[in-house]
Amino acid sequence: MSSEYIFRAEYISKQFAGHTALNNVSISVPRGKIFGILGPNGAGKTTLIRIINQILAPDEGKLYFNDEPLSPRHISSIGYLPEERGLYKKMKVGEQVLYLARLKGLSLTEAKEKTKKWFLRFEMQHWWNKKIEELSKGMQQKVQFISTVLHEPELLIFDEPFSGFDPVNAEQIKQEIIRLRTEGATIIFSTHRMESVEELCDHIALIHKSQKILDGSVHNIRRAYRTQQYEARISGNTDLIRTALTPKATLLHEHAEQDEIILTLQAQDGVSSNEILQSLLQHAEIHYFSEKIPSMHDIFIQKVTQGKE
Amino acid sequence: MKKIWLVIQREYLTRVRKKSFIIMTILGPILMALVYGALIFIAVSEEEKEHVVMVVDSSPSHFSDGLRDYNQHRPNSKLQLIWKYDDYFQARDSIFNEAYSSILYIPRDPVAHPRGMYLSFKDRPSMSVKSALEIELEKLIEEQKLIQYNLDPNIFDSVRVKINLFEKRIKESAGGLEEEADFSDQKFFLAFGSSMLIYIFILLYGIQVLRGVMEEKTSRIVEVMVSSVKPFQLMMGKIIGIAMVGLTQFLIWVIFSGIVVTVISAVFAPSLMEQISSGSLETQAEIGGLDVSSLLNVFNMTDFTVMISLFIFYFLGGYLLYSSLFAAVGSAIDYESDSQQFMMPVTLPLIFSIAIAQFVLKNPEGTIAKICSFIPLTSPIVMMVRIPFGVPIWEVLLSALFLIGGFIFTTWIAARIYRTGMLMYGKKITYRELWKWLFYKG
Repeated sequence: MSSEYIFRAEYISKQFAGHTALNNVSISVPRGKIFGILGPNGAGKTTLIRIINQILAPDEGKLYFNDEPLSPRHISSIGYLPEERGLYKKMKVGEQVLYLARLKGLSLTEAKEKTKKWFLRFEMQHWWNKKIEELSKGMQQKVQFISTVLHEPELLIFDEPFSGFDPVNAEQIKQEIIRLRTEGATIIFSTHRMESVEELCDHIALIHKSQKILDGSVHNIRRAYRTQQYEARISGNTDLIRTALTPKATLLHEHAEQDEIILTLQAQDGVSSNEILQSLLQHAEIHYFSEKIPSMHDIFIQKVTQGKE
Repeated sequence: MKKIWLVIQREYLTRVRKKSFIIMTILGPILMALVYGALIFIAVSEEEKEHVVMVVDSSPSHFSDGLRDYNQHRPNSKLQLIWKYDDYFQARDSIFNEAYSSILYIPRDPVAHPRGMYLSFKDRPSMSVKSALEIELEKLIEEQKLIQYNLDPNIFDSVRVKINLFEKRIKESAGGLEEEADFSDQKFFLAFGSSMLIYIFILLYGIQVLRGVMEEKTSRIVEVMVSSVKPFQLMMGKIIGIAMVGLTQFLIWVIFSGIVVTVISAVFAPSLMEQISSGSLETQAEIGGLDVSSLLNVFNMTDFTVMISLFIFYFLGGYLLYSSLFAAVGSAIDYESDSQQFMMPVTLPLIFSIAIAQFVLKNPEGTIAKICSFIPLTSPIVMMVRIPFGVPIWEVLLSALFLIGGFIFTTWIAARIYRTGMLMYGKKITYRELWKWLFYKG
């Protein structure tokens, strides 16, 4: 049960009438982590997520949940928040949440107990008897979020979880997602917004044009995409610095900002940051020094545009 | 199974608790009672006005004397006969001054030339008044002719017989041949009533299934749902849940209508009976003469249970067959405006079967009737029309088997279209597209 990966998909392909939605995609989702499925619109993310949820069956490939072949009995261990949110508009909030929870296999009493707990946490106890259509969009989203996580599944799948929330509520949802991970859940979330990826994800898989073009831990990916560039903010003489740096590094860019000079340096292979710092120290006062690690955003753009060439 | 049960529960409870359901359930029988009451009221009150006819008899034999005591014998009749003028034109001149509405002119020799009689009116006499007068005149001429030909009216009466053939069906049974009475009129009523009921139920609640599926699709709840239940379970849960809503409503209607109709009949019946006995309501009396309680005499108890169970079978079979198709249509379309185009092929066989039901009624054992009672799309209605008239067991079994097979087949198709259609948005659906969906994996 406690293997490293809670979920694995191997060589998944899916075709729809003439177009390939997924082509030989494999992912392994580590237990207890937040796993991001990234990709531009139309890359195949939603198809992959629907396959994980057993809404669609793949044409080829194998799926494993806790090392067992994925089957309908795993449904109760998975919670899914689709990108297209929707609830029964005429149903009352409380009944709606209970209904969805019971469909996931909870008993009525269990479902009631847990619903009350969550309603308390989100301060929406008085919504119980309201109809869904009487709620604002944001409130509906919260109801939907609760019904996704209520049955405390091992694996949670959020498709664009922050769309439709205002910044305050989005932050609350983000905190809830982090808390769920702390409590042991594994989370797959799909997005095309990179800001949230670095904050939340431990691992990612990047899907583009139906193919996985990159995956791994966020940390490792960013390290792998290091360009050995450094940024320094200093006050001093740049000419002296330039000569001091040769041949360890070249100055790619400099510009003055108020009383500071901002430098972008390209280190030669095998030159450590300490060596560069030493050279700088001789001629300048250093305010700030940092390696320029590419953001997920940069990597994303880089990989996706590469694919186009 | 537990999940289907949850879906059924939701579909049932949300609908039964709706205001519109409660209103329709209460209003339905009241409306029916009002229609029924209005019919009786019209029947009772319509003929209130008496119609006075001035008889102008120019026959030397005083042909019309035979009618002189008409109003004594029938004090309740709306037809009033009076005599005053011997000349048609005199009578015509005073028609707007005196209290009679029509003039009946009798020529010199009405027995030889009955076509010489005519009725002139200032206010049109009602059909029943006219036919009452015609009946009386026919009787008079008959009597005169009998005298002319020197026939005894009693002999004539016994010669004239009206035939209403009593029908019996010969059956082969273990003990040899058996005969049983066949009551066509009652069977006609039963056949038409039960097939009509099936038709209305399928149409009414099949469309509810379509609406429900569309609601799930347009509100986008469906993706959440299919991550918990199989699309097939969701679809079947909905179909069964709505069927139960329909049955609940029908049951309440039957009970309520029974009560209300009994009450109204009790109030109006005495005056209605009076009308019938007075003879002015002969046609109504004939229809009313089809006493529902006599239906129980038509079939013995075992036949009756067989009939009821077959009715329930075709009722449910037909509903399940059609509603799965309606579900498929609902899942394939995005907007209600598109629904007409795709509903057509589903509703067409239904309308077709109720349309040919009348031909089947006339000839329950004709070729078309037989063929249509095997085709699953038409059999729920057509077979139901035939059953009261007696259908060989092998035919019923075969038709039932086909219906079950047809139902399994349509749900299979519907489930496949449903599964794909439910998650397909913003795409213009064509029949070719639907055909492809049938063969998607998953």
